[in-house]
Amino acid sequence: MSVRTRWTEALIEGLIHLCGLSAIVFILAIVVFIAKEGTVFLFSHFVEMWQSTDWNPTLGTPVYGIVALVVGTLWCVGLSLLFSVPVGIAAAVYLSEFAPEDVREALKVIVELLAAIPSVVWGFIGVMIINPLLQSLGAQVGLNGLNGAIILGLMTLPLLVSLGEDALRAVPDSYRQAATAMGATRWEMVTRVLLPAARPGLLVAVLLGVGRCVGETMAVLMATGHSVRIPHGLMDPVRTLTATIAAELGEAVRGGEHYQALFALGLLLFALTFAVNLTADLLIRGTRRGA
Amino acid sequence: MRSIFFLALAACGGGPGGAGPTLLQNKGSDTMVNLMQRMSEAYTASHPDTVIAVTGGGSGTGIKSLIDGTTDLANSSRKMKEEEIALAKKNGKDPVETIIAFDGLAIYVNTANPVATLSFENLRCIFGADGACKKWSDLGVTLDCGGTDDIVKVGRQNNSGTYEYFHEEVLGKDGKFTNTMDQSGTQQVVDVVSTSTCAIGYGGMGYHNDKARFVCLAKTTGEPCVVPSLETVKAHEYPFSRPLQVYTNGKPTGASQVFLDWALSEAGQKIVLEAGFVPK
Repeated sequence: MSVRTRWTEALIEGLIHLCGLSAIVFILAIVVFIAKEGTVFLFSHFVEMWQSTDWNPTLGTPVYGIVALVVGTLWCVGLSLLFSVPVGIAAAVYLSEFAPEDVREALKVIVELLAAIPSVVWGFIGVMIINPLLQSLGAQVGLNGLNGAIILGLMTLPLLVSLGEDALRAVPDSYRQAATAMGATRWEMVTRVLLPAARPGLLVAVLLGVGRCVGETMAVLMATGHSVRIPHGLMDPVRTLTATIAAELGEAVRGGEHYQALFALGLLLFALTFAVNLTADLLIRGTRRGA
Repeated sequence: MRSIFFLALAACGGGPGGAGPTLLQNKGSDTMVNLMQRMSEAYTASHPDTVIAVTGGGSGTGIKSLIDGTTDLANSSRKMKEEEIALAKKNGKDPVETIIAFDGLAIYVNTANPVATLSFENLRCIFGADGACKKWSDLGVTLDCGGTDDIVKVGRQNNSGTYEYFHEEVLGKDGKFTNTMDQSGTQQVVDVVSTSTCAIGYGGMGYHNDKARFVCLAKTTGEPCVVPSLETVKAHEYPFSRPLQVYTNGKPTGASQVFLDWALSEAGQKIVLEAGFVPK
């Protein structure tokens, strides 16, 4: 190896190293930025925030209750998972175990295309297509929690299918051969051998899907009806944490209480998605060690 | 080379003796942005020495910019709040308002809704957190929206001037809304009202369609009601009309004064009418 190649090698290595470190720098910078604006409010109003379902930051005496916003977020995410997890995992099983090679390749491209649809376009679909559809099914307002959940479900589906398929294909072929040798049908092989073996990987897929749903903003802002309340039925409009920040930050006076409150919401969201992603990460490590 | 540079500098300088046009910054209310854009175009056509740069962002944004000194004219669909005036004074600014037009705030319901008239008390009862009107039957209106007649309340986000005006007029400073669907524009409000039979919403006058109609509004229950129109708003008969104003720092002077005088003249008020608002 000449001196010159060794020198370029070192330079490139250094650059790659720097790129890796930059991820840490960005994360830290984001945490510091949000924490700087939101921490004071979060700690001084923490109890108050959890005591009220009323979010009314522009009143003469403002009310910063976040219970309805948190419930709205979890409501949409929970409902969407009820739909996206079974469908997503079933699709992953089909792709990895049953689909012929060329069908699988074609379907994977389509699934990736689905993932490339921008969030605001999903919001449009919620307003223009699912809205009248739900209304024709008897909903009073088509912009509601169920609409938001359907949109979120469709948005997370590609993630679930791709990661789920990876998890299933990571199960060694010897498992399949052993199951077949024992006389298991394909269905028995999938339900009794593959799914249990791939469970940690599938769980990671679901958790990453949850993180994605919790943080989604534009589509839910458009589709949920954006109404602060505890939902009593599938067709009730709701409001999420993310949509509240997006809708109100524009005119909140910089440095004012409302502004800080929105950053406190951001901190809570960050903590929530961080916890979900950390769990997913620990699970991945768990599987690696187990394998 | 050097002479060209000085020429350019002189052109940028503008001023009374300069050759370049004076630039007026105009910012604020989204309700007024179309109106001001039209005015700016017509004004520059007849006064080539002045250029007006119009941007929206909301009434609050315009007022903030006036306080920060980054705009000459701040459009607002609501009056300045006391704390905003105090903040302006603290920054050495003295906001002065000039009303240039009026706008009627319409109450919209679905055309299938037979409700004949509503009063401010009814609106309080419907939109307020302590109001008892949860269903249309509570108001004596028979309506069926798929087995229920729960009122669907549609409003604006809490950073909108329209929201603040409606809030203050109907519920008062500390009154609370309950269960409203908070939309980011009047068009969206009317869209929900047009598709949901049991919905009621509020917004500017220009948005009614064949599925959403105006409600005849009375100041107090029992009084004769008024439907919003150019005539009723202009005559101050419609109880829900608001002024659209422009704030300046101190009494308007120089280019700002000439422009605002023009806006209040016949030529300016003609544009107010064309933009769907009510002349002063």
